[in-house]
Amino acid sequence: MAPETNFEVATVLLDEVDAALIELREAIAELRRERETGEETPDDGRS
Amino acid sequence: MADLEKLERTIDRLAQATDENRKEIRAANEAAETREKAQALRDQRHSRRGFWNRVLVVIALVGLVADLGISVVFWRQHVQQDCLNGIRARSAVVAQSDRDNVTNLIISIGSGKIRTEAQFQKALRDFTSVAEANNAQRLEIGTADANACPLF
Repeated sequence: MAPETNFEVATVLLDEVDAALIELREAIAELRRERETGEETPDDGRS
Repeated sequence: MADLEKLERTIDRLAQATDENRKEIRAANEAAETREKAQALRDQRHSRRGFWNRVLVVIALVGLVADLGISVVFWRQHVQQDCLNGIRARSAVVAQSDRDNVTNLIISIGSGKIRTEAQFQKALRDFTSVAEANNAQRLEIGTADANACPLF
């Protein structure tokens, strides 16, 4: 169901920001693990 | 590792800012809803007040019309009563005239003033003349004046 009010739109945007931050945290954790083990993962195209 | 920690701190700040934003917009939304409810309540009250104002105006108008109607009825009854009183007064005058007419005739005969046939005929003509005039007046009172009085 599409958001109708400004409040609903803002909530959806904040949820997307939260999800992006979670993804970023996961990426950082993965990067930390690689650095600790000295492994390298192939580039998946994300900058 | 220092760059990753710096990145993590930045993410933490971003997450914190996001939480604060969420709280702020939720508070703003609740305030807006409260304002809307208050406005709706005011509109409802205003609408209700408008309805009762119209009811009061209608009641006042009905009372005014009823008051005017009652006043007119009383006024017409008063006029009718005056008119009837006038008729009764005129009828009383005619009745008294009739009684006087008869009395005069009797006195004329009884007192011995009438001695000839001619005198008797004259007295009879006078009596008849007055009686006819009174009858005419009675007729006039009973028709024209009675019809002139307002009927309810």
